[in-house]
This record gives sequence, structure tokens and C-alpha cells, in this order.
Amino acid sequence: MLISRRRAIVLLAGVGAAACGPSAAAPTTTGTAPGSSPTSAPAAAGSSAKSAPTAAGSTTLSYWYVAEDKPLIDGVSALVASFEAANPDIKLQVEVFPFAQYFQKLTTAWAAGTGPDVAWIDVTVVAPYVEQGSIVPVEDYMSDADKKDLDDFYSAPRADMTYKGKVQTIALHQSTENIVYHQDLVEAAGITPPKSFEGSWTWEQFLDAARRLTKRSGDVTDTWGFATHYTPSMYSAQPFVAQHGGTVINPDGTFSGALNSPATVEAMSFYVGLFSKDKVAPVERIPDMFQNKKVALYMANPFVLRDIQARFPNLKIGVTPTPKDKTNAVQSGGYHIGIPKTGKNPELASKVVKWFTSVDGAKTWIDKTGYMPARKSTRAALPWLNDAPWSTFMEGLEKFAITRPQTVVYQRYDDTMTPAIKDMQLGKDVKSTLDEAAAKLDAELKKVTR
Amino acid sequence: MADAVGVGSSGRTERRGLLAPPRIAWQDYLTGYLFLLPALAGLLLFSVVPLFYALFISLHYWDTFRGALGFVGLENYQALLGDATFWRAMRNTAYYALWQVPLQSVLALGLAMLIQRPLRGIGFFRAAYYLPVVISMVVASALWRIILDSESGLVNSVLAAVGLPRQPFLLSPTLTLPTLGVALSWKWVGFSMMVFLAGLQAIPRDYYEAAQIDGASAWQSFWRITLPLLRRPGAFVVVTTSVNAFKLFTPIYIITQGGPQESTTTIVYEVFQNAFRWNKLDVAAAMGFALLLVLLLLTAVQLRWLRGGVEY
Repeated sequence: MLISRRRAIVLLAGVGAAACGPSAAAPTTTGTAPGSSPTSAPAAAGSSAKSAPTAAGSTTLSYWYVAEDKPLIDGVSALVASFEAANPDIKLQVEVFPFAQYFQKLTTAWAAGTGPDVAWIDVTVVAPYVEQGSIVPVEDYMSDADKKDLDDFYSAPRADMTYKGKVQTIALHQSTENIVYHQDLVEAAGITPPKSFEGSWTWEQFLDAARRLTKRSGDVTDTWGFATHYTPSMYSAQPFVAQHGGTVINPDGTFSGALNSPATVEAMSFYVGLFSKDKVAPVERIPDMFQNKKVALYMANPFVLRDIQARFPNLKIGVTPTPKDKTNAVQSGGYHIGIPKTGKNPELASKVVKWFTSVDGAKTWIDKTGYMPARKSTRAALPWLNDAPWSTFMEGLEKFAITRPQTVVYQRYDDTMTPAIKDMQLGKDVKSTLDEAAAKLDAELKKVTR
Repeated sequence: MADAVGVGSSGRTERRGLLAPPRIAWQDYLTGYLFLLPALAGLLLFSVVPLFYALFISLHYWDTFRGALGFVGLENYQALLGDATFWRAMRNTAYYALWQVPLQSVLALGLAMLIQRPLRGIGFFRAAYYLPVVISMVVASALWRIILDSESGLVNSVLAAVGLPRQPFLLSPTLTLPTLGVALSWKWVGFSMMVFLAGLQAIPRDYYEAAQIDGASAWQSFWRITLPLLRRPGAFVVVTTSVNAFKLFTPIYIITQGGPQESTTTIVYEVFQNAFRWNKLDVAAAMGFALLLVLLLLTAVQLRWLRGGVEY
């Protein structure tokens, strides 16, 4: 089985994608931090060192993660060093991959029966990985004290970590989006964006601001009022749905009746309307649009903001909360860390997982990377989190975090909705598009669970 | 383009007379085959075995992670026949090929005739036209996306400057695929051009001189001499271009993700999505085989149609 699966992967390269090796492609669909330097030379594929005892009697564990930015690599290096210092008998062999290749690498490695001992796992794939039996629940290796320690996690990451009643993975950090803006453009338009969620913009106020900030000469737009950092997808749309009281998934895991409910249709109409009807946001992606002042209000996460600040220190940037409708809502989630089933020593792997996500580990990690913490104690330990603009992101996460749907068909959901959102931005009817998408996803769900 | 499907040896020479078998010791045979071994092993391991393995997978219900979950015979193929997504991808792929293949072939021939002339500095132009071939497809795709932007793209800026309306090149369900056909012709035309160039240079000058003496115009020379004698390289160009066109993937992955309105989903894109995003190795394998079948048929028809005729 082991060899045959490996061949199966080779074959796909042979039959289908011969000349255009998919791994060569670096999609900008999900985008990376703008201009992020590809510092991470992806290590040789599939060369996962198994927990092979070395001459000195120590064990080597492989650790796979995703990074395209120096802060992340520094953060991992710091934690690896501290872990190895505390556990001289365990060596960590780290392999770093660009976002665009990581999940494909994991998939192919697992299909071939190989792969890392410890791996980063995106919050969105926890459920699929559990369902397909790719990961071992971290909870199986937790003591009572470890379990009690989970109370230190915020409720959103805590919910994301738990699937089928068990703690499957541990959150490394959280990410969330709010509106980053150009101070001078906003002032020139006579707009004062609110600083805290208390007085956050309503949809109407937000749209009005975006309209006033959109500047055109003829049929060419000089400045767009609004844009999202990442390609518009449910990642940035779901908060709007929640703000309007809609949902994207039913409690039983199906989509029809939720993803196409009246509230969701209304919310999605508002969201895509920003692009199609109101024309305050660009349908086509413009490279480096925020740094080049091609957009005034920019939906982005703290990591992106930190990167822009570092590279363009002269820009005057502010942050205002994501707007509200019936209620406030902001996106949450981020990378988790977990134990692949193909790993050779889950007991030792769980030690790594716990070290990286411990109170001290989390503090180091957040301080180095600029992500938002998943632990309450980290917030208390790092004073800079109380300063603007980070405090705005923290406030949103603490009070209004929503989580993405835990579903075995998450990748289908994403791959169905991202093109659907683009079609709706180009004027396709929202209700019928969402009806179709929900039906398609439910049909897929049936097939997967057969 | 090693994947050109069986252009075949000319096979017209009389073998028996020329190669009246001198006795060859079996050791010599062994040596010969040993020399072939590395190449054969590679071919077997990376092409032949996977090919049959794909067939095997396509006859099972097969999840990327859980492996084979039961033999299902032709069920995966039957499911494809009733799958609107598959047919749309097939149609899109064929429609795309209809744009790219003729355009690229004609352009390549034109360029080859231009750069055939032994002018001073012609090497520069030959290199220049060939350059896009060596550019990374990912980089080229990213560039097109910027160049073809509906508002601020270079092409639309030029259109607007001369008073023409801007076009939603990558946003319109009718325009996107032909646009990609044009863009990819630019990308690969250099390769086809080199093939034609080699073909052109193999045509003896005497034919043209003789025609000239007989009073043939340049136009007549082209139709009566050049074109018929380019049948072989022409067949090669058409077949390889078609195969490549049917394998369209990278620009779709980078630029359109199958949109707008699923107008640019292609077979290989669907294969990729099924295998690597949705873990459906069985569906992906069946689609791959369907594509292989289509390509074999198409190539057979093309070769039959383009072969024969004048030899030189």
C-alpha cells in the first residue's frame, strides 16, 4: 500500500499535469503579505526525517511549517532553540514551505505514508484532517493539568481546536481583520474613522465613507474606497454575514437553508455590492494597492499591517473596526499545530506541540511574529498589545470573534465560494448563486460521508 | 516536447535489403540494451507504470488518504459522463485549443519566414522571439494579469488612448478564454517557430530558383513549394501545440481559478482540484484518462490528415 500510494502521486503528474507541474505555481489567490520576500527556501520535498535515533541516543523529530516572512522564521527558530535546550535528547528538523505549496506537500506526503512528526495545520482543515484520519488528537497525550491549562485559551480558538468532542490541535495564535486606512486620504475627505468597537461604523456609514474616498478621472479609478488584502472569499465575507445575523452552515453540517438564507443573501448582497453596484472596491486585484495609495480603506490583518509599517515607515496609517450591522463580528482563526498520524513518535511530538503553545512559548511566538495571541495570559504578558492599533484587533477578537465553519468539505466550500463571490461581484444574481452553491456543497457532503 | 505522441519514423525505407543481418553476438545485444536501460527505467518508472496505475485507480473508489475503498469498475467514468462540470471543462479546453492552435501555428510560420532571411543581426531577433518560451509560466501569468487589467492594464490604456472602449479581458465569460489563447500563443510561438525554421532551411534553394526561372511569383512559390514541403514540421507543430493546449493549467490556476462563471475551467485544472484539493484521486485519474483518450484520437486524426503528400 505504501509504495502503491506513492506511485499514485507520480501518476497524477504523469497523466494530467505533465507539463505544468502544479507545484511550480504560486497562486496569488489567497495572497501573501505584500512583497514578502521569499526567504524560505523550501526544503527538499518529502525528505522528512523520521524519528530516527541518532548515535548519541537522541531522537530527531521533523517539524513542518509555513512561512514566507522573516518574523515567522525567527519565531520558529527561537522556539526550536529553547525546546532543544530543554530537551537535549530531542532534535527538531525544521522544514519551511511557502503557503502556496504547503497543503499540497502535506497531502502528497501523507498519501505516500510519509510526512512530518509535527505539523502546522490551518484552522480550516482541522475537521477534514480528522475525518480522513490524518491526525492524532493532541488530547490523547494531555495530562489533567494540560487540560486545565486550556482554559487560558480564548473561546474562539478553543472552539476551533475541538472537533468531535476532542481537542485535536492547539492554536498557535489568532489572526483577524479590521480596516486599515490612510490617515491623509481620510482627513482630506473630512472623515474621522472610529477608534473602538463601541462607536464602530454601521454599514451605511462605512459605505458612505468608501464612496467619498473613491476618486475617479473618467472611467479610470485613481483611488478605491475599499479593498480586501486577500482575494475576496468567505474569509472576509463571513463577518458581514454574521453582522447581519446570517450563518453559512447549519448545526447539522449542511449548507442549504444557511448559506442561502434570507439574512445571508442580504449580507452577501451588501458585500458583493461594494464591488458590483456601489463600485467602491476593485474586482481585479491591484498589486501593492495599499502601499501605493490606490485604496483608502483596506481590510487587513495585524501581520500584514506590521509588514507594511516596517517597509513603508513614512505612511500614516490608522485602524478602524470592521463595520457593524445588527451586531459586530470579526474573523478569527489562524494556524494550529498538530500531530500527523504518519509521525513515528506521537508521544514525543506532543511534547513539541505543548512547548510551542505553552504560556512561555506563546509569549515568545507572539512577540516575535506580531500575530494576535490565542491565550489570555499572552495578552497580559505583552504590553504592546494594549497599544493602538493592536488594541483594536484585540478588542474585536475578545468581544466579537466568529469562527469559520468546521466542515469536512471546507476546501470545497472555499473553492466553490471564492469563484462564486467573483461572479457575484461581476453582477451574477446573489440568491441563485448561493442556492446553487449550497446545493452543490450538500451533494458533495453526501458523497463524502457515504 | 517529448510528449509528442508517436510522430513515428518515416518507415518507408526498405529494411531488409539495407540491414541484411550480420551475425551479432548476444553480448553485443546485451551491451546495447544495457545502454538503453537508464532511459528505459526512467520511462517505465515515471511514465508507463504510473499510467497503468492511474487506470487501476480510476477503476476504484479511491480517496487520496484512505487509498482504495473498493473496486467500482467503470463507475467513475460513468459518473464523468453525467457530470456537467466535466463536460464544461472539456468544452472549455477544446474551445481554448481552437483559439490557440491555429493562431500559434500561423504566427509561428510567419515569424519563421521573417527570421529565415540571413540578415545582419538576425540572431538577435531569433533569440527575442524565442525568449517568451523560457519565461516561467507563473511569472508570465502574473504579468498578463497586470497587463490585461480591465481598468489600468497596459492593453486597455492603449485602447483608451486611441479612442476604443476598454475591454474586460479577464472578467468576461466570453472574452477570457480567447484572451488566454492569444497570450499563450505569444508564450509558445517561439518553439513552433524554431520547428518551422528548421523545416524551411531544409527546403533546397534549387526549387525556388527553378520556380523563379519558370516565372513563379513569391506567392506561388509559397503555396506550391514552401507550404507543401512544410507538411512534416507543420504536423509536428499542430500536434504538439494541440497537446499543450489541452493541458492548459498554470494560467488558470494563477489568473482565473476557472472563472468567470466557470468559463475557464479546464480538464487539467479539474484534475488538480480533485486530486489535491478534494482528495478524489479516482475522479482525477478517470478525468486524466478521458483526456488521454481525447488526445490520442485527436492526434491520430491530425496525423492522418497532415501526413503523406509530398516527400523530399
